[in-house]
Amino acid sequence: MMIPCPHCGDRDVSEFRYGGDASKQRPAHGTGDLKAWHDYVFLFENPKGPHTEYWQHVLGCRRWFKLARNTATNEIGGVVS
Amino acid sequence: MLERRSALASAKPYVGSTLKIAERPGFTLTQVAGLSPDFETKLSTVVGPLPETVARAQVNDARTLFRLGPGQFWIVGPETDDAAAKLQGQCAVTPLNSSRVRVSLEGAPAREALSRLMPVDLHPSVFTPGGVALTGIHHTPVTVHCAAENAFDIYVMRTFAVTVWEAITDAARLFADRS
Repeated sequence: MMIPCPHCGDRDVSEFRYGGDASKQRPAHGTGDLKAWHDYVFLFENPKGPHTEYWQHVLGCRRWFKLARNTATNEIGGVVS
Repeated sequence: MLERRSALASAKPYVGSTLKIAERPGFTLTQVAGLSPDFETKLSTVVGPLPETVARAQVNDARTLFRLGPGQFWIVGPETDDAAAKLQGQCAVTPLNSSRVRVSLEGAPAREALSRLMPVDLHPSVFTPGGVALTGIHHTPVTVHCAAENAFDIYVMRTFAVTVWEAITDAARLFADRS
């Protein structure tokens, strides 16, 4: 699987680290709602199909970015701004 | 008097007839980074033209420049290079002389040996002299510079130098006696 790093271009997936679901909304700083934090940290949708996720080009430029990827086909939809 | 000791001092030397693998010491490595809009302009007035893309090195006289990330460059110069002193106060300057080891691969089988180690297209029509790849060998980040048709410089972190050296020389064993 090739991933389009916004800085380095198309690179092999082995140079990257998966950083988790990028579609989740992090609770605001200082929020005391423990259920909101619990759900943010521990609950994941694990969808089959289109997904937005964080990736880091850890063996390259170290840049973090959001990527659209189909979890069923590994088709890459591109970098999400 | 302190003496500089190579991180590869304890590594087993590689002996081959067609492929030469050796540490290439004697360089100054300076990392510079800046966030201001005129950072690259300021930098280029000191070190000359900058590489246009991450994939190509820029050679300015005795210095070779790599574009490593957004607003981040490496300057590789001779041991007497004063780039760090000249840029002090203008941007974030980090001397990396002691943190990287430069390993050189030279010879006809160099591309084939490297292709066993890193996920980069090393075909001569793609990774041409002057090409640069920020990639990994044996799960370790490395910067690979194609210095000539079949000559490569690999910049590896000092603490991983022996591990990467062993990975490289192991991959190259196939070519040790090929003539």
